[in-house]
Amino acid sequence: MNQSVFLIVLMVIIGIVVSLINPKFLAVRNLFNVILQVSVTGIICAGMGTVLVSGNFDLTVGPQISILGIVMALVVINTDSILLTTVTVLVLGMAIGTFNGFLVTRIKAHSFIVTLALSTVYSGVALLMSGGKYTSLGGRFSFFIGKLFGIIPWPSIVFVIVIILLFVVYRYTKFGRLLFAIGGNADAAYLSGVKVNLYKILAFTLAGGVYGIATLVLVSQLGVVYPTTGNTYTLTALAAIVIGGVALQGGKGSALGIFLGAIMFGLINNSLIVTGVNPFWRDVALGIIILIAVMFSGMISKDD
Amino acid sequence: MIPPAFFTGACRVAPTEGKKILQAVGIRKTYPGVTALDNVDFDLYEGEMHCLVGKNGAGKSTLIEIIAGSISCDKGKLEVFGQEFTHLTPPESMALGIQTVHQTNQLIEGMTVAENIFIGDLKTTRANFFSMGDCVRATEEIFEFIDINLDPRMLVAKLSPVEKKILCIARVFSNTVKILILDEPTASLDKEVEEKLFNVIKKIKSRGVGIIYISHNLGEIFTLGDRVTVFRDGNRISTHAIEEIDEKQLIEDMIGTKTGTFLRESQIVDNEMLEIRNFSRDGVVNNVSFTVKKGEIFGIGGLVGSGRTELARLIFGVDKKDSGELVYNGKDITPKSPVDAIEKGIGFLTENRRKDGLMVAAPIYENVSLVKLIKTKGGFLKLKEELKETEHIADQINIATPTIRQIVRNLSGGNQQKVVFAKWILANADILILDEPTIGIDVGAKDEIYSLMNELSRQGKIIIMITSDNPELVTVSDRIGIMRKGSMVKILEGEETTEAKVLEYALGSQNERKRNE
Repeated sequence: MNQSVFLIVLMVIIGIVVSLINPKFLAVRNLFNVILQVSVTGIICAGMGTVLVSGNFDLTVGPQISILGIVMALVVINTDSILLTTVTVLVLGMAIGTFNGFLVTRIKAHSFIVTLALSTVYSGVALLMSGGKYTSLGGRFSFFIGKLFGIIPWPSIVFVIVIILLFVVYRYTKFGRLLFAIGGNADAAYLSGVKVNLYKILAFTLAGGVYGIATLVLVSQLGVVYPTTGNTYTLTALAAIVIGGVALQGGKGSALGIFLGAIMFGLINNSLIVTGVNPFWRDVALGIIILIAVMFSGMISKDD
Repeated sequence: MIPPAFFTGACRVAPTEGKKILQAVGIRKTYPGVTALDNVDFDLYEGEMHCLVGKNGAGKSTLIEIIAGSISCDKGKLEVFGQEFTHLTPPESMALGIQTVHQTNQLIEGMTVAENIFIGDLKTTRANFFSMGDCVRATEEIFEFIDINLDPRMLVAKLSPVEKKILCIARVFSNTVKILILDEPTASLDKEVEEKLFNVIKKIKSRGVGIIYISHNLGEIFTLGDRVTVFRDGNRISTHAIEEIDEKQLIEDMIGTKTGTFLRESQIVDNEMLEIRNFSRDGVVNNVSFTVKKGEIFGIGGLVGSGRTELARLIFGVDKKDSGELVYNGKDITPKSPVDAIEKGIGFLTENRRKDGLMVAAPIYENVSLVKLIKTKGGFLKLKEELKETEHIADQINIATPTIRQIVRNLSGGNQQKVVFAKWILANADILILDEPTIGIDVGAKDEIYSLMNELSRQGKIIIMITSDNPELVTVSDRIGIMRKGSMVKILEGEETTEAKVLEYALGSQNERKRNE
């Protein structure tokens, strides 16, 4: 039995219990809400999870998204061009990612600490760029607020597409396979002729691009950018990835797991709202779910 | 002031008259699948040095660990100073005066000599502050007792290797010492400085301490020892007074007679060859050169730590080298990196498959196809083809598994090793460097691996095999290069490829050393 099956079973159980208390939980509109709530987190998970699979941490996510958001606002306000804004954010995201990866492979320290330091730098840069003030997009770049056929939220569609692409990368490309090889055993991969550092950097590059997508969706929904817009996402995404069964030491994980890990977050949130539980319980419940999920993945990989 | 009596506790060695101080009777120890010790007897007299010799895995370490109390035996008893024990714990053993100096120095480099000696029992003033002065005085007392000339206030990092080893020995004298176990004290030392260490050991002997001495160096056993016991495959083969035995007899006892079922069939192509020229890395590998012909298996023997693995890593381009060229049929193919080595048709099977050979959490086929995958062009995987090829190879070399989607971790050691072989076979490497190809696998699987190597060399591959398993070395290799302390001291051919010769050159016997001088 693997992590994904476990998560699905857990979700079904939660779903049954919650729908018994409040049948409205099962309303299509509500279920889409669940996905909508975690779309941005989920997209971020796809990037961060890829870096984790290759054996590195990426704690730069939050502040990096803040920077990308500020740049996005700047470009869209000054040029009013959707295309230019999109391209700028994606390219800048990949550039920052590449830079992160470069430093991680160069500095002989754990990626956890390198990216933690970088994340602090980026928080400061975001504050410097914005002067500490928020910027409104003035209604520009707002199409991610809408819904396809009036029911399916656009961010959820982006989320699902990203996950499908991630699935293809992990399962059907050489790049994906090599990332797993490096995360599984970097020494063995190196001695088998894998250009380990190059692929580690490319994982960061890909992640940066994915953070760009997340920024476009997030800022479009918010309509406004704060210098701290992305900050809370780092640990949320990390937790969701771990729930999804990606191993912290790398080499293990799946696109489906990452998808389900993110959904789990939204499900817990939504369940508590629908059942009318004091919202302050939310974090308690989330924390417990993280523990259960980690315990489970510890159990199935006990023979390590 | 602390009374002088305080210090005398530092170096008590009880003087007992020339009698038996330790006796082990019928000691048996088994691990799942292995009998480490089988009904072994051993004894030690006061003021005596009793040497233990035998190949790696013969059971020497198991015996001293039982005496030191760090493992317990399944059967048998220990008699220490007349007291009988079936099990000892490390504190009990130490309280009896049994102290061990391990092969690796467990020293804290950033502290002084004196602090290292008393780290477990730091001297303090009456107000419970650390007292460097008292530590130094107690250290000086120990040093005087066993004739050591070191500055107690010196930083350990500044000591030479032999001084560090002497310090490790001195350290155990902060406790009572009646029986001293020395595990390969000269393993990492140069020949020239060993005399310093031997003087200290002689002094300790003269103080009435019984010494159990493990060494691979037969020369020093004849210099220092009183009696010598040979172990082989968990059995005690013989015990002799040192005057009664010569080196030849000792080596014969260590080897025994062993018959394998494997028969090597060579088909060597004379005019195509790989030349390994002048490989060096300061302090590790010293100007090693040899040639291997197409279809030949060239074995590399020598003790663990003689620079064999390091040489392989230099050839494969893993570590930086000071010099060295690899020439194949007159063409320079010296690799700059593993990536480069693989492009030039070299494969390297490392000695620790779990550490740097396999992704144990991944399925068999992903491991097997890794090298081939890197060589293939295009960004997408060809899964069907990949599975078919892997399946084919797994069948060919007989990997016992219901499916090649099986996670590697769940396979036996022998099958895991075959997965690594399969990787290099699929990669179609012309030159294979195999480091301990049969380590940790059972006899049946070993024979299968030998047949596989036979077949590969028949297909015209060049094989360089490093192994510590001497029977394997002489059975499988066509020629054997012996490494000692970073140099290739001898290449054995034809009639000379015997275990006795391998041991003789690997250990650096007295005769051979004389010839060199």
